Amino acid sequence: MKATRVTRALALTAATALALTGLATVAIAPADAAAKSTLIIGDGLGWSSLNVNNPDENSAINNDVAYLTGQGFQYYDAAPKLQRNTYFGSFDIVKGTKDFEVKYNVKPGQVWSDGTPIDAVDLLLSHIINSSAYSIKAGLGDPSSTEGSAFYSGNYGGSYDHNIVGLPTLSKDHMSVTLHYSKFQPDWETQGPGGTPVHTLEALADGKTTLQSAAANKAYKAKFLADYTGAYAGNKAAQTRLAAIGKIWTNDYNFDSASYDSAAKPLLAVSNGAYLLKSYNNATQTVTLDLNPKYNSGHPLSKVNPVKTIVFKYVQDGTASVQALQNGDINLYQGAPGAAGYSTLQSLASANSIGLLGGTSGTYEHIDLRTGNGPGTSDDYNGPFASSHGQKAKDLRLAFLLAFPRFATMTNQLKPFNSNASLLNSNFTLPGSLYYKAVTAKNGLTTGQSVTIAGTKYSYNFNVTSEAQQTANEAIALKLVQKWYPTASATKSAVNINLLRSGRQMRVENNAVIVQHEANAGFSVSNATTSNWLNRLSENQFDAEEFAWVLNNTNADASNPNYLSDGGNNHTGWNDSALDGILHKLEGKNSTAQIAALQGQAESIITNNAWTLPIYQWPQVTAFSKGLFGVKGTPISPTYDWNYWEWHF
Amino acid sequence: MTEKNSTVSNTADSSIEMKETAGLSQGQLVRKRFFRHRAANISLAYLFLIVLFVFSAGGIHLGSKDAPFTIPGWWHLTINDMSQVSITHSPSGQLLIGAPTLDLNPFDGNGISVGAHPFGQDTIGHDYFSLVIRGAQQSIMVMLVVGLIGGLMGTIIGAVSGYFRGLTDSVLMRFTDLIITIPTVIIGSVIGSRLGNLGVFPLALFLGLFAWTGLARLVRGEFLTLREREFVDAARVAGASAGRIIFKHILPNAMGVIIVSVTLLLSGAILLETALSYVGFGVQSPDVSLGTLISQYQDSFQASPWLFWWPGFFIISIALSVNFVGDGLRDAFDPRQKRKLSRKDLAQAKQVEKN
Amino acid sequence: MLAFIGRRIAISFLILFGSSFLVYNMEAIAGDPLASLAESSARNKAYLISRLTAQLQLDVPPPARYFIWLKGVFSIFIGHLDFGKTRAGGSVLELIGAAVPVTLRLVTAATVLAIVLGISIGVLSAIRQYSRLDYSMTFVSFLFFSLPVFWIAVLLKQYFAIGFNDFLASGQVTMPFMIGIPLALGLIIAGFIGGERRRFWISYGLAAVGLFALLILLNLINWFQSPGLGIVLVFLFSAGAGIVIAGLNMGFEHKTARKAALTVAAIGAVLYYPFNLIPGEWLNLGLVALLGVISIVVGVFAAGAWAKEDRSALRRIGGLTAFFTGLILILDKLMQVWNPYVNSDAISGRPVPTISAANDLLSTNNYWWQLLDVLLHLLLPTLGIMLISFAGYVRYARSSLLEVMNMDYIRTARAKGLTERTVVVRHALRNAMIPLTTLIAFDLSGLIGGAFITEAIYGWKGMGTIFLQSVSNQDLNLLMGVFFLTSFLAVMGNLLADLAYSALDPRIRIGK
Repeated sequence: MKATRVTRALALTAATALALTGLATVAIAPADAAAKSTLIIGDGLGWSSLNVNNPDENSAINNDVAYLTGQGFQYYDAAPKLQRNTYFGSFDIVKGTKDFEVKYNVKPGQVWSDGTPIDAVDLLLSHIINSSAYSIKAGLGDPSSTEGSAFYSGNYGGSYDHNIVGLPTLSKDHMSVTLHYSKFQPDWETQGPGGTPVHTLEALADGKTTLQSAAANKAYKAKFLADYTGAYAGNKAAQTRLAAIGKIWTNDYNFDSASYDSAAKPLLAVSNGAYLLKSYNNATQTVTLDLNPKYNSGHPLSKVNPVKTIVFKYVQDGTASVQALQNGDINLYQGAPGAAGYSTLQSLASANSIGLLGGTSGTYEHIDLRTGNGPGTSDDYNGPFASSHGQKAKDLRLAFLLAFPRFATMTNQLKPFNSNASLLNSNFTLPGSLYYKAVTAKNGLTTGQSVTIAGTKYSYNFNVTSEAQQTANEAIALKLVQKWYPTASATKSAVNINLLRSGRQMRVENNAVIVQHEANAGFSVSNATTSNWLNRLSENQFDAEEFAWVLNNTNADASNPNYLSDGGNNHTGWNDSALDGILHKLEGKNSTAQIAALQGQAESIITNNAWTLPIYQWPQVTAFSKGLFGVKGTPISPTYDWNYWEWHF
Repeated sequence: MTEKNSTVSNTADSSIEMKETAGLSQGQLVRKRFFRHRAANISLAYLFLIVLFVFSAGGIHLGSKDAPFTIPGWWHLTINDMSQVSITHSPSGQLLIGAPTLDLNPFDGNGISVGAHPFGQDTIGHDYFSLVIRGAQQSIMVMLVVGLIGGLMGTIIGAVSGYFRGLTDSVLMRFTDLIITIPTVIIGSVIGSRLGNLGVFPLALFLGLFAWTGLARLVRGEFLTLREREFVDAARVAGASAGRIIFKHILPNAMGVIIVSVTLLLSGAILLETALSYVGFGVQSPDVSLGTLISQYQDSFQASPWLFWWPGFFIISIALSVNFVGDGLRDAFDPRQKRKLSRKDLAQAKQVEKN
Repeated sequence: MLAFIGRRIAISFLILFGSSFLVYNMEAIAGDPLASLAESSARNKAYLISRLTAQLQLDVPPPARYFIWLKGVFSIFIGHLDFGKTRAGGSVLELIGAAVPVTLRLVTAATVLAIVLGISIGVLSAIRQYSRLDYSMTFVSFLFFSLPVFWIAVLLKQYFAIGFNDFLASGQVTMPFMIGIPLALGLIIAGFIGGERRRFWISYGLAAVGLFALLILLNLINWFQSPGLGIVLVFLFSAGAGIVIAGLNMGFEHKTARKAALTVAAIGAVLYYPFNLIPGEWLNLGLVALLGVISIVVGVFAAGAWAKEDRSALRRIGGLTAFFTGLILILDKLMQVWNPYVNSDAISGRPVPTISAANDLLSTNNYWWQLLDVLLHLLLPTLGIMLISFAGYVRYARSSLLEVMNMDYIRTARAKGLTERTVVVRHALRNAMIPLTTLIAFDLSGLIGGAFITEAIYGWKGMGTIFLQSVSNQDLNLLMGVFFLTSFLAVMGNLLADLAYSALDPRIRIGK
């Protein structure tokens, strides 16, 4: 008995020892860690297309990728200020002509990634996808009809479409193209053509899948030019061909439900950006971009450790993004995480494990007051703010805006993100733009104003910086209300206001604050918060509306649709002929100083009319791994990747 | 030693049980068995305390905005109160924003203290204790309403279906199948967009209207079996109406199944609301539930962990204890279940054997 | 029977019709696809709106539009199913076709593991009712049952991904873990061993000390950075698995069974080197599966050769042992590629990811690398799903078995003098599994659409993700496509559950 136990124990020990020797496998020396060259970007939307002119595919992520894979005449920098890309070419107004003409010159020596030279023929597709007149005349279909054009483009109907005259003129050497407009184009600097490798479209229309020889590409480019002019001239064969190209352009660049591998379909990836689409894995929603060895259409990449591969990984959830960044699954993340997520990012940044840039996005919150009917509604608005009530309504509007807790709203919603957050004081421009300073100096939002009530002059300033100031404004607001409703007081409301707001978390959290402050001025505010508020902006049951506008360019007349009497986004019935005059002037040719002056005038009219107040810009953060340098955000698309050439490890 | 003892304990077992069940009504029996389930007892007590705690601390807020009916609680802050966020540093020098003031360690020289914000503050200065107890109130409300509506509907539909069989059964069961196929997220999105934030009650009501399917199937099965039993025949022969047979005769016998699945429904409801809140269709801000708190503050795990742990603690402990109570009830209602014999019982049994 | 099935299928279609009509109209009323265009400041907004209206036929009122959609679904009878187009113009059918495999990959492993583990632990818990193990398993399963899935995901990511990856940088277990891990794991091991209080504490002590020693050794040889088992451990593990399988099947005292199992394990060990010589580049899923089938066949015959009686039981033991031996061989292989994989450029030392379904940077055709990559990406979501759904199976298996164990025929079986193993495995377990089968059939049908939160947290684009997207984008056609598939599966699962129940339990008659 005892002996067996000893034997068993010995056997067990021997077996264990033997077994453990198996554990010690030979350690393989780790491969030499090469300098990091792959950047992984977290993206919460899911990439779906190379073609951002397709209105269904015009998402932020698609724009971000398109910016990396294709370069054109201009881009926005961090300010945001429009910059010209002189590597691609130059453009300017042609002097001495009667109409308005802009000439675009492609810089010689550039090539597409398949080696085909870039010239002005590559700019012509822009006209096809911008001009309804061309589409109709070339037999592609009327873009505004239900059948639409063979090119399903989101650009039809814009000011290019309305004002372009005839065909763009191609120079003899095919290196420049001139656009003719019927009148001056205020945003002529942004609405010009972009390049498209048209020879690949022709090759695809021929059923080709592989990259073509230089000679074949040259022939395809010539063929495109022939089709382009031929279709316009009524040549049936050319029209059919162009329509076929349109179908390819509309559909083949979209990957909503398919994967992509550049080895299998190299033609689709041909472009002139610093990076080229290498693959898209539909199952993981991962986009991989590789360096374009022939890239010479933009700023040269950083000399030290440039980013060679860019991967966009899909991370839908905010918390998941923060943890993914921490775990190194992604190296760059931009978004608006909740306050809690932001404080986590801050603590990571203060522990020096990530880099963090606080910032603002191009979206700004504002409060609008209704003076009449929005487009498409027939009933007459007769609420407290209706312009038909004249001075009474104007006083009430001013009172409402004075009591509106802009400061508290801004502090409540922005403080967690940015301790230096401040109020936005312009409807037309954002801080950092060329005009912001000049406009805010004149628009009446930062300077002291006064109002006379019953012979007494009261001074106020919209640019509230403390609760005391807010209280003072509310007192004046109450006096304004008492002018028409003498019994009104903080405890006895005189005017009922129906306020429309979206169900977005950060707005809803602020409901009580608004109700309380407006009550001090004798307003009883009821909130209508629904998730389909967007459709109800024009309904005149709402006396006031709080929502956000997205500014996606810095054109002088970008805000016109919001404030023109017949503007498409004028949901609250504002109507002022003096303002219309100034806004129309903004559509004309002006110097920088003139634009600032006009915008200032326009805004001061808006302030005087007590129509609306801007509140704040939405927060946005950019966080990135330690070791990645050169990241700078801009509020305008393509947001974080505008300066990819400065990125390096 | 196993073989011999097991024979002893087997006989002892039955004799003990026999003695226990002698002369007790079903209700007494169930109660007696339930109160022997230690985990279930602790859980029941815990649930009772937590309900008492959150409703007394936060007070009761009912009625509409214009005609509010409020009984204030003993905690002086509400979910709308905001104050300056406290900024402190941990002993290791880490920046703490809105750190909790609850101090349960009696040995650190400060004794046990609650402080101004026992659960800390969120990043914009709300008192987190108020938020968490309000959230717990709402989640308990959701749980109870879903349990009540779902329980009632499930029981009635299952009972009618199982008792009448035939066409009634087919129609009701296919209706059940239809409801099963409709995803809760869709219900949540419809309520969210059409009804806005009417509050937690309508949400719970609608969830309850779709949550009874599992229970109905179970009750139906139970009724199918029970309706064949002699006592039902007897009642029928005696001329009892269908309603009377269902509610007076069969239902009490099916109570075990019902109570157990209702407890499952309760703990499921609390998690369902959490999941809906995560995708944005649950309780709407500015009101809170444990679900919205968890989904809103899950990112704060590293920077302000208390914002992560407290709602998690409440949700898990409530769901856990509801489950344990359900387990205790299941054991109590099952006449065949044997309980674990304590050492004392065994010793007694051996004594009995010897005698 | 056939008439019954036919009728049920017909009714199922009526149900699908009813619920899809309801959902279609509810969603059409709830959200307006044009809403997101209203905020746009695009100058050709009117055109965009008219275009989308035409594309999605928004001018048709929802109840009528439903029938247009239904017509597309009915085209399945003329050969092409048409779920319509998404808002973005993509094909709904293609999108769903791409999403289903992703979801399947995500949920399959988790579900299988949850079922196997859940039932095993539930059975063990029932057999040892009111033991320490039973109590702790009840507690643990209730605890997991009460966890919100995204809450646990935050913890899993923090500790199992970020924490583990940080640990791998050095690969050395630090002192608090050196002490903590043995203390905790020892408790679990001792709990499974069970027994009287004294035996429990002895096994606890031994296990803890043993684990502590093992951790020291693993630290010394830097095992966590370059793990592996080696031929000896592969043999010992497969022999152990074989002995347990033989024991459960034919009793631990059955010598032939044990010999048969050991033979199979030995064959596995002999094949260790040849198996390791196969270059990973040659292999793919199909080939590995083929190798698996071959080894099971070899196992079946090798074990069968020992048989004098009970040939089929021995064959079963042989096959099962071969299966597990194969798994252990693969595990060892994966451990061998671990070090180069972790140190590759694509992974750069952080192998456990928190998001995504695969690492697209990893360009390799080595099957073992790919397998390791897929498994590591599956790790966290699988753990999350498993922990939560496993709890349900533990509870159901436990109560189901307890119920059966109280039945008279079990008493009879015991009275016949059958061993406890035979009573449990042959008589009780089989009958206890009947209600579980229906539960599983029902659960499986709900899996495809049910993992939407998990998919969102871990960045997988499966059915749940596109479903949520469709709800938030008011993409009605897409939503209906997903809904139709999931509800179809639910209805069919329901029907199958009923049929399985009546097939397994002769007491249930259907059609009445």
